[in-house]
Amino acid sequence: MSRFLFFVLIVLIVSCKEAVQTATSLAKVPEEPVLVADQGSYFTLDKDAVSIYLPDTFEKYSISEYEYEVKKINDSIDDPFVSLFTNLRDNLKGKFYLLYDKDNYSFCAVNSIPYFDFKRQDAKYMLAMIRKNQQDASGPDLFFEKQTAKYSATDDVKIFKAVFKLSNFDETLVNYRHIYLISTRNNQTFQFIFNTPFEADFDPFIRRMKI
Amino acid sequence: MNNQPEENSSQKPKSAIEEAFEATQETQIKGNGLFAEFDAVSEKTFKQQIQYDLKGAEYNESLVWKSPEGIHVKPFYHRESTKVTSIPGQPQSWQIAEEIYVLDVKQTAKTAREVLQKGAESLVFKADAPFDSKKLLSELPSESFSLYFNLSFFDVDFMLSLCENLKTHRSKSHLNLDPVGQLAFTGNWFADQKTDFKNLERLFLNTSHDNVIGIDTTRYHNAGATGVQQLAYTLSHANEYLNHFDDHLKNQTLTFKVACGSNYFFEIAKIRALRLLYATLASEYNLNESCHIIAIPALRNKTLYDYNTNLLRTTTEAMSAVLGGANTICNLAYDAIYHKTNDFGQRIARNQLLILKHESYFDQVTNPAEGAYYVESITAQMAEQALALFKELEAGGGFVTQLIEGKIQNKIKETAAKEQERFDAGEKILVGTNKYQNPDDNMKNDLELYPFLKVKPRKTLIEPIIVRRLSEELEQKRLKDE
Repeated sequence: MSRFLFFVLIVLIVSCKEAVQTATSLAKVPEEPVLVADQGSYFTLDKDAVSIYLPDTFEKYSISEYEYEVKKINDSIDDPFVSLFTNLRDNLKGKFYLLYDKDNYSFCAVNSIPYFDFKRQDAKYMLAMIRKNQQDASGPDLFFEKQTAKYSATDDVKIFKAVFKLSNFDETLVNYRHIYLISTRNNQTFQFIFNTPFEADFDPFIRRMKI
Repeated sequence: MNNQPEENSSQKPKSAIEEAFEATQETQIKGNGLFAEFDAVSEKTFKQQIQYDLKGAEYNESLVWKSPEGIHVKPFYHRESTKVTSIPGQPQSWQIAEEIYVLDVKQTAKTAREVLQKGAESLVFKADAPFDSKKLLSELPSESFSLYFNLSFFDVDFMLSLCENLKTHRSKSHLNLDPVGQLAFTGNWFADQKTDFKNLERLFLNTSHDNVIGIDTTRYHNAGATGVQQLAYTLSHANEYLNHFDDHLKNQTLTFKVACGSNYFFEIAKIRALRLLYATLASEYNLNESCHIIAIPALRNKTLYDYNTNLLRTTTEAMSAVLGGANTICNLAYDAIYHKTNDFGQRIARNQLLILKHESYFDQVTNPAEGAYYVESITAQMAEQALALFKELEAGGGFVTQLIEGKIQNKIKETAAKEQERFDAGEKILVGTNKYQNPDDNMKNDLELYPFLKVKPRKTLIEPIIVRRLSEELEQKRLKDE
């Protein structure tokens, strides 16, 4: 649990620092795209022998490639997610992968982290910790509202999922953050952070993940 | 982009991830607020967990402590067993007061103007003899602030003239006349009971002043009475006036001068309990249930050595007063027991309150202690025990009778002796005095005032209630050894 707490603190404090600024740029998306599970592709996480399934529009990026891509759009603002990715890569034990959807200003950050076995009873506390950290780190201008939080498990796999809606006071800026934690019987734990400027359901994609 | 989807997953056996998504164990985590993520924990469950964690140790012996008042303080308090009481008369804000000794009227007015300019919002004029109140008031700034009088004499003509002069001033004033307090603390009435009460009546009849009586309760604390005793004696003290003057008190608000010690939560509870008890008593007489409270740090725990610790003490004491709901706080300078009033001491004392008010935002919330389970619980217990003691006092003939019989003095002496024993045994700690002494701390050459109990033999009607600091004996010994 303490390892998880450490992880949550690192991720969320960084991620929320400039969320308002991020939301500004992401809110430029004119129409809300629909993610169709059938229109996806497999991405092999080479170092972990795992394949994840994501919408076609996602592509694998390095952090520097991502930074170059966003600078092309607006080089006057430092993209706040760059520091998030750097922190995820440098401060969590395990591998880091970044997939970016430049058409929809969305990303998926994946970390393989040291195995963490959580139970149904832990889920409430995990959610509370995530939520509190989100709120604490976001400052007074951004409101985190939990959309859903679920725990499901079999003997082989345990999944924790939380979705938050991030919005400013008058809801002119809205983002959605999907956090998945998946622990498998192979003693692997993966953490996925999706960030989209529109409502989306990534469950159908996660279901097709190959472990 | 990497691979295309291999094939329709529905035609293949489900993967472990898919099975997990569809698992019957799936739990929807409900609620949106932080606390909604947690199950409510009952008081019984809390206690069971504590007892389990104690690994066999006895709950009451290990975790419940008993205050000198006999109040059992539990390790936790819970909503289930807490009754939130609405305290009548809680002020919207509090004021910073400063005491000025009236000797030369012109100099007093000058000092008053200066301290008001430096942040004080109320003035306490202390005097031992009548003075030219018209001149003093005329030289004060015209803006509104509160005035308190702390007079060691009761000259009815002076008081009538003062009331008349106060009419022309915008200040809200409190005369703080207290003949019963005079008896309790000096052993004599100002004149005699009949004359003092007759003079009070004259004031009620001939002035429209609505804050004539002020009950000084600080000496109960400073003499060593427990919180419950202080409350009971204060209530009984007030009841003497309510009994005699109930008709004249219809439009009056009683002022209570309260001392705050460093037992943080108990002092908060004490002030709240006082308001609660007074409201109960006043309602019996159909009088205004609200009272006015001016709080000052207690003398009982102040020390000569390591005198800067007095700053810390007075800060928490002022905090207790604010949170308990005092209308006005008049701070005590860190060096008040051994230095004459001086600019530096007064400035620091004033700034302590200014920091609490303007930098720590202690004026932003009204009645902040309401609903705090621990404070609510000890408030209720203190009020209940004080009410029982008050009833005993009244059944015994009332406050003055009990004073004349010496019973109140004896009770206070008993509790003071117990507290002194605890101090001498090192159970009650005053940092820098009976623990963590600084052996290099020398005070002999720094005394401008005699900091100990002064004995001045004189004839008194009754034995007065004697104020004494806990550390006096120890300090006298240290001074000798310097």
